[in-house]
Amino acid sequence: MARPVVGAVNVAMLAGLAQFLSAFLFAWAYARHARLRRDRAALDLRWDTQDRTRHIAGGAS
Amino acid sequence: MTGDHQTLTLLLCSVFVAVTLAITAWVSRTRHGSSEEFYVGGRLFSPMENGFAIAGDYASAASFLGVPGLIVLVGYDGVLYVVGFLVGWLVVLFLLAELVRNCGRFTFADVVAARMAERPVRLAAGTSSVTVCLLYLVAQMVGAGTLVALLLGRTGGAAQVWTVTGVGVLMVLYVSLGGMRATTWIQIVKAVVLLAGTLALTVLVLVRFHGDVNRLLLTAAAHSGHGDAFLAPGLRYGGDWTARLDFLSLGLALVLGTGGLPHILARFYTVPTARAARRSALWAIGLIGVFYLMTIVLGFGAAALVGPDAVRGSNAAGNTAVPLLALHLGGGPGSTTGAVLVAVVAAVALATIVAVVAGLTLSSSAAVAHDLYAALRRRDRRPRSEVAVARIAAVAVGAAAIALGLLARELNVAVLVGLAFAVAASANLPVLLYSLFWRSFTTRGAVWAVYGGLVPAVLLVVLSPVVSGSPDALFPGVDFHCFPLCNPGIASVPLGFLAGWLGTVTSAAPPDEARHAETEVRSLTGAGAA
Repeated sequence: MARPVVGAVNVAMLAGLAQFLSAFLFAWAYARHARLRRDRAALDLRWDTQDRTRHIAGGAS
Repeated sequence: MTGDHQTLTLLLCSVFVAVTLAITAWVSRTRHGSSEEFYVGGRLFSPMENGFAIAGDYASAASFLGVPGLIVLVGYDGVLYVVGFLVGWLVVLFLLAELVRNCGRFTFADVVAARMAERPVRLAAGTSSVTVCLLYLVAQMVGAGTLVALLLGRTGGAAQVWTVTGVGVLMVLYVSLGGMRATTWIQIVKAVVLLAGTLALTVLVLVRFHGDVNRLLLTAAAHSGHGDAFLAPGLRYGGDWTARLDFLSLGLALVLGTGGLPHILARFYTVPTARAARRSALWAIGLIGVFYLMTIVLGFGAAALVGPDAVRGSNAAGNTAVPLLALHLGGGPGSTTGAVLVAVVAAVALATIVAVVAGLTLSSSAAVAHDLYAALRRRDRRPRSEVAVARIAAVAVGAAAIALGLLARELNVAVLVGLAFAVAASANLPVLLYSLFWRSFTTRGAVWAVYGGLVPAVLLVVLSPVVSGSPDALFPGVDFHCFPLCNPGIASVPLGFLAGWLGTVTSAAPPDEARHAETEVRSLTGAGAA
């Protein structure tokens, strides 16, 4: 880990920095996936279930 | 420390206190006194506002004062704290934020109680919430005391007692009068102040080195007395296996603990939808990540410009590295700019502490009123207004925090926060994950998961070198420690998960499949969410 890469920056420093970058990257990828693939499906399912419970409960929920 | 800069510090702190009290007064003028208003501020904050408030809630004195100090003393190993603090947010974003928003109303116990027998589950989760909040509160109180001792140039004494008491009284005022809406705005103001202050210091450090990070690191290593080892892992958590295990334990507690902190989970109830909860978590990750990157620069800057000897001479735990760095950047002792910068840093740190403490008080009073009181009160009595109970609870929690903060004022702030994270990871996270993701989880499993994590975590802390048997322990005179690690996470987190599994498989009552299906649909779609 102490092996220098560029000047004073060593492997450990780069690993720490990579941890920050990967955290940002994963967060962005998750949000993008949720926005494009999941939000629409969740909304549809919500309409669906509420529609069904309305038929059963007579307009309750 | 000169009289001038004490006056200036006092002035800046008074401005912050005045602004926050004005916010509280303005908010409580228009309040309606409903629980929706008191606990979650009417759920009408925007994702950006909530993201700033989360950053203000999360970045505590341990981050602003403790982390740069640790970097000065142990170099690269101090950076590992920061990585843990940030990575924990991925657990929150991926597994918790949206589902918790949809499943609960006011506290994280709501999520578990949604599909279990309500009373035993609320009792268990309420107890563990209050424990975590109190540990975290004590850490902040100790931080406030240390800061004042530094500014007044002497340790101990009446000033420290008065500051701890003053912070306690302030937080009770904010919470009991303004509820969540006042707390949130205070945290937003604090986040802006903290980020601006940190940014200013970071820019000053980088300007001093003409933007050459390489030279900053080389100078830090040269002044550290460790040479190149300063920039590589191992100064603190290297060597024997106990130290390495302690590092693993701390890392586990930091990464998993974030998702079990009651005051962080409660923040997701203040936005209207799960989508808004996700976006506020994203804002929080961005703000917190940038803030922590800057604290790393401050840490290495303090190592290069002030040096570990001067920092250690001022405070053995390193908590004063940032104020000393500010003094140096402003031109050293006796200079006007130095005094101004120190005053700014002190005011920022005090604002940090006050805002975190307000969030903690609110969430522990919610746990007392919404979980413990609701589970314990006699059914035949006419229920008192929950908000009234919460206001009384805030006063009680404030009193307890003041007393404990005065008792524990010799302890290290970062260690205390690590313990709070460990208890949160062992007692709160297993039960949350099981009830969100495990179909056959039962009430008994839930209760066992909470106590099975809480009891070992607290017990191992009591038996650890933090409490007895080492020179900087809570009771240095006696020695009854028999657990070698400072942080219990590596033992107590698996125990919490194991106890939850064991309670579920030995449970006589079958799991309630219908309620699980109902909460699953609710958590994923938001149908029927509060």
